[in-house]
Amino acid sequence: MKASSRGASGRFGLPSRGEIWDAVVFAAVPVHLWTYLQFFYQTPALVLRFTILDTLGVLAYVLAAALLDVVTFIGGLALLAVLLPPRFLRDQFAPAAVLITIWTSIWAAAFHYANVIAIRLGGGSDLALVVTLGILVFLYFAVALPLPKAGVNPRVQRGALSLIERASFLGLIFLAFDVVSLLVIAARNLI
Amino acid sequence: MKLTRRDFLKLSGLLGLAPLIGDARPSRGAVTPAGETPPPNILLFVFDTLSARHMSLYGYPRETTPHLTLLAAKANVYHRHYAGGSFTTAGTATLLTGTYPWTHRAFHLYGSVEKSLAGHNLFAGLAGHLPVQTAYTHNPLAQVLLEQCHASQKDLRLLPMRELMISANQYSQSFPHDYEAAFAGEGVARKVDDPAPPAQLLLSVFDYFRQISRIRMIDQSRHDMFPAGVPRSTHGAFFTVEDVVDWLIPDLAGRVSPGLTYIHLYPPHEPYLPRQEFHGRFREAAPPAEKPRHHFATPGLTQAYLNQTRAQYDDFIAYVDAEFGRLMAGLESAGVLENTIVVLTSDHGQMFERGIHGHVTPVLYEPLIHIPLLIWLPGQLTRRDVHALTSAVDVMPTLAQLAGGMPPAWGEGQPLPGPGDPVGERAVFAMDAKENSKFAPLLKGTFAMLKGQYKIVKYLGYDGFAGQTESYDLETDPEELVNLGLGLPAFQKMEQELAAKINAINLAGSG
Repeated sequence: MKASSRGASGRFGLPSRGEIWDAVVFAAVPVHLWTYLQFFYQTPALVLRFTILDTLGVLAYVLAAALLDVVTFIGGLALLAVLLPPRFLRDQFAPAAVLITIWTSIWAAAFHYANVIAIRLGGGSDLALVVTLGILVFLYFAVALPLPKAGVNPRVQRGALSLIERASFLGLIFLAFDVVSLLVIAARNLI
Repeated sequence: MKLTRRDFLKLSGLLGLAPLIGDARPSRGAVTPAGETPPPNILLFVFDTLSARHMSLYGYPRETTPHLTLLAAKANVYHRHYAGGSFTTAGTATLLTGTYPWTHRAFHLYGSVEKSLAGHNLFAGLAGHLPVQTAYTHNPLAQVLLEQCHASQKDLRLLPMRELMISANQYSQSFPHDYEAAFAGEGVARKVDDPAPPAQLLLSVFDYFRQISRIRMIDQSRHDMFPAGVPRSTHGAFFTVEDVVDWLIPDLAGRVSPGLTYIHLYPPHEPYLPRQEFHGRFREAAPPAEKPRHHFATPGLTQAYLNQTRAQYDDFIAYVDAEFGRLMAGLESAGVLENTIVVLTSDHGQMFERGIHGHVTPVLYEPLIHIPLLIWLPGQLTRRDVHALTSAVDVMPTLAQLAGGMPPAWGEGQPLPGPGDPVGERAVFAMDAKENSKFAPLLKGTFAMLKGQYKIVKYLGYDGFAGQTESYDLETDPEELVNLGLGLPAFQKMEQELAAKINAINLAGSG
């Protein structure tokens, strides 16, 4: 897929629709890879009590949650782009969104495991948990805040656009499955 | 159908309950024409995870249930009542369907009854006689089963869980027609209060922080009343028993026609968070003698931890006991008890011994499956103690008869006996098969069979423990300390019966 035109601003000071779409398609990749990984990890337990059809029904709800994840995350970034001065985020929205998505995904995955590790190592103590969470939150913002600025760099921009193009096919497939999952949920609840 | 006093007593005789209600005098309700006695209301009240082995009513040395002991003075008290399973889904499905887990197949966490049997439930069984039906639970595992009952029994008024909660934190309730799959999907996506990573990558981080802030906010708002925290489920919902009691009394008092009410409360399930006056009540109590660790003991779980959590659990039981006492007092003041049969039971027990805490475990020791059963009949004035073996599968046929009908043909139980009633050589069962497919023959699981004074437990398919058998004489060894193996002929016979039973079930399933 050809990356959409960049730089032009959309309505209400939003980034252009093309840039937002590119960001959505790109963000769908790490979010869904994680979702499918976790779902398949749970599948052996699910098939003990669900038929294959019902297991797919469960997957539909999980994918709906993943779609909500992507839409909310990129929607939040787009809103930030409106609220912040354009040079911080809106002017280089797609490359900045790519960088922020990559970092946030890695960080969130680490967060979920660090949380588990803190609970196990600290025996569930509040102190171990608070310290772990504090470090993780600090780390997130320390890295994330400079990222939009890095999106101005032409080399970063080229790299980000290249990533969008490479990931777009997979992202579109993931999003298409999400749409199917919404239809499945509707059918299971209405029929 | 309306029951006259004569009918009611006749029915009770049929049930074997006649000796129990010799002094029961159903009185005339306000809406009943003179000369007629209204058919009874039935209130089936379930406290989740209430082990009979932790109730002073049943001889536990700590005074955990003073209110129930007092209330038992006018009740039928069943001393050897057993759950069908060791956790909510299996235990509750047994109670609701009157069938054992091998039949209803709801033996997985969050599982449901086999679809073809979904219409076989308490509400359907009593609908012809008690068409006004209400159900409520705090527990989402029980809600899965109640939603299934609701699908086959549209007139059932199933209250949403959030209705009587401080905060529910569950989105899947928005999908009542597909609740089981939606709940499972939400469970995988969010993993609230579960250490495994959630499938939703980003929003679950916010969810996590939001949950921490909710806990702080709700706990602080009621800190004076609940110093250890407001009662909650492991799924992040908050509630109090008080709220349900305060709702239930006027709701039952306002009924114009008799009905069936099923209430299933989460406490005293962990986390153990009693009200202020019960907090720490048993902290200094002497712990029971330590028992040898089991093959399925949790590594690293110390006896000191088990003793500490046991005391907290006992505190929590004292809290629910007091609230149940308040409920009964409120129902009595409102005149509800004059024409209401009240049944108190649990879905399963809880364990603090042998290196095991909780109830999600393959073992089936007494603290896990020995549950309370008390029945108050309208006008009953004396206590009746029943020492015969009974099972959760017996509750549905009993209630069906008390409501004026016949026990549904699908049930595997029998109407509850009265004191001294001959019960013959009856066996009751409990099982756990969480790791066995719902759709496959039972090859991995634990099966308990009780007959007379004996209990035999068979472990099938577990790595390193397959084929093991435990046998106890509960009369001489109620703490199950001496495994008698298969030395006694009675145990050999029971083992053969149990094996034949499992084979028959598996054959029926494959056919």
